[in-house]
Amino acid sequence: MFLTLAAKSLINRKASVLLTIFAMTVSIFVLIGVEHVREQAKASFASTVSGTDLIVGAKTSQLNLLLYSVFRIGSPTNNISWQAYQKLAAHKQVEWAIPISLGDSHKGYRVLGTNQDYFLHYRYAQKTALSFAQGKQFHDLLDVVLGSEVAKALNYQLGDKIVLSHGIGNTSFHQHDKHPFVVTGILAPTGTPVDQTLHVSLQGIEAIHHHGHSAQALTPKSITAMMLGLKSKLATFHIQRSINNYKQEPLMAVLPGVALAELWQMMTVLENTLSLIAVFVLVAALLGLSAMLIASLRERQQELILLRNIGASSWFVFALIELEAILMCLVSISLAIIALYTGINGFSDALISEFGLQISTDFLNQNTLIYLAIIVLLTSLSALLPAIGAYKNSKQLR
Amino acid sequence: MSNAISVNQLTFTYPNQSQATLQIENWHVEKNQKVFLHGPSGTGKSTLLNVLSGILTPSSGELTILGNAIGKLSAGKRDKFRANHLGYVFQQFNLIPYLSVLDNLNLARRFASNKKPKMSNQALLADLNISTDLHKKPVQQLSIGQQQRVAIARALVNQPELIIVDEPTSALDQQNSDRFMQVLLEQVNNTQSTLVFVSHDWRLAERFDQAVALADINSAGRA
Repeated sequence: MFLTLAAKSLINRKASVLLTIFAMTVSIFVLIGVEHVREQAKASFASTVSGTDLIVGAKTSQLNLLLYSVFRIGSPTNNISWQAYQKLAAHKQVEWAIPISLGDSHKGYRVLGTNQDYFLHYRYAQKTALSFAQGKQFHDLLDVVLGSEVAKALNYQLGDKIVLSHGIGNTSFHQHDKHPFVVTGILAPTGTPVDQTLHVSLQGIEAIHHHGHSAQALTPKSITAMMLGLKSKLATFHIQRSINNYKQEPLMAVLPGVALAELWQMMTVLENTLSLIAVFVLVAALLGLSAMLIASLRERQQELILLRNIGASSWFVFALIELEAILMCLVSISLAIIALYTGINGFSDALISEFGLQISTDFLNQNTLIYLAIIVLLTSLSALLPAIGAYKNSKQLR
Repeated sequence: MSNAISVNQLTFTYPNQSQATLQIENWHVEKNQKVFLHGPSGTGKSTLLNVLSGILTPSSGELTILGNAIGKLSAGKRDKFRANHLGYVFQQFNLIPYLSVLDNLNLARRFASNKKPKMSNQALLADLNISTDLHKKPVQQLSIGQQQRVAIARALVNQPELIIVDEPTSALDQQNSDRFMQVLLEQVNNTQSTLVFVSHDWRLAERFDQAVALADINSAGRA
């Protein structure tokens, strides 16, 4: 009966109640959405590289090296020589070495030159190896292996011929159309930048840029960066130091975890700003709720007096106002969850292709539930002022 | 124990005022009596009704309702006492407008805890000429006359020993007013309860066992 009374009372004032619920819904949507995207982005970044002990590139900031080698963001400042690669790959402490050569693109997607070690040793998420959805790794000079998103977005099949362009723009003038590549494999989705990458052999990269096809012309002169797996983790710092002190050319080795931590630190400011804005939006909505309830007390004066006359206590009147606020909050939470769910479903494709962000719809985790509980608590606090007002009015001590 | 209401040296002063609003030397209403109380506005009528119902507590003096010193009960017990033993009908706003007729009666039942055998809603509404097709309608869709009769049903739903009625007919036309008075007195006779009927209209006084003017018993504000 108590619940019916509160619900019907709200329905009876639908205009102001609906507006309040709408404001609350928007604010809860923003708050939960920001938190969710934040966590997902973090998880998505952290799962991009796994099992790699050192990333080696030309001297730059460790963040820059991480961004261009792993996330394909920004441009490398300098290359490292083929000799340096060969020397490091042959080092007795090095178990495997993946060369990475960047700088070309296809319709806005980056082209990565590498060798078979990439498919053998590259790991993401929980040390998961790359697997093929269709086809196999590149074998011939002009073979290309597509990331899942590339194949999906451009609708490429095995056997399709594609033209790679120099530079990383979408509409590069210099198309290497003399050398069309053939799709030999399509990777399974990883939720990492691998999905947005086209993989060719290092020789293939050279073939784009040179006209001769002799073995000597196809040997790379330099690569962009390399990923190293070591035989013993204990050697990591020792190897890192000796690479950083390499005499022949300015090299740098970074630990992916340390560089990622630096990335978090930079993002923390942005994250906190977003969270703060979300909290302010919620506070504004709660103040609106409080104002609406206080304004409604005047028109409900007689209703509350009536309740008292038929035997309701002042606490009943207090609890009624609180219950109405909490009901509005619960409706808003439900609407916000539905909106977020449909929103993520509707925009997940755009998020993946534009930002490489894979946002899942399982945002109802323990963290979110704690947030929602706090929102309900804050709502009951905001309803305190109107509820106390109603409590005092119902005492009739004008 | 034969008094339904017994007032002795009662005063009531609002917290932020220096002048007492109520000052009643002595006033008794016997059980099963129907009393007409002449109380135009400005004579402390609402205050007296709130004190009688236990919403307000006397500043000093004795007030006994149905044998209970109501001013000495805790707030919670006064609320329960009101739900169990008192029935109210006011000039207007006797019902929650957006609840149905039945929900209004059930709401009043919910606050009471007495174990008296109760009349069913259906029987009560039938006695008051409220047809069944109105039972599930929100009361705001009923006419004023119908609403006032539902108000009587609401007041009687917990079979109160004391019924207090305040200007119940002033919003009704002559025909509805007569009908209201008739069913009210009928019901009060049936249930053997005590009735205090407050009105400014002396013409109604002849239907009651006794008539008294609030101005005569309340000496507050007199020089």
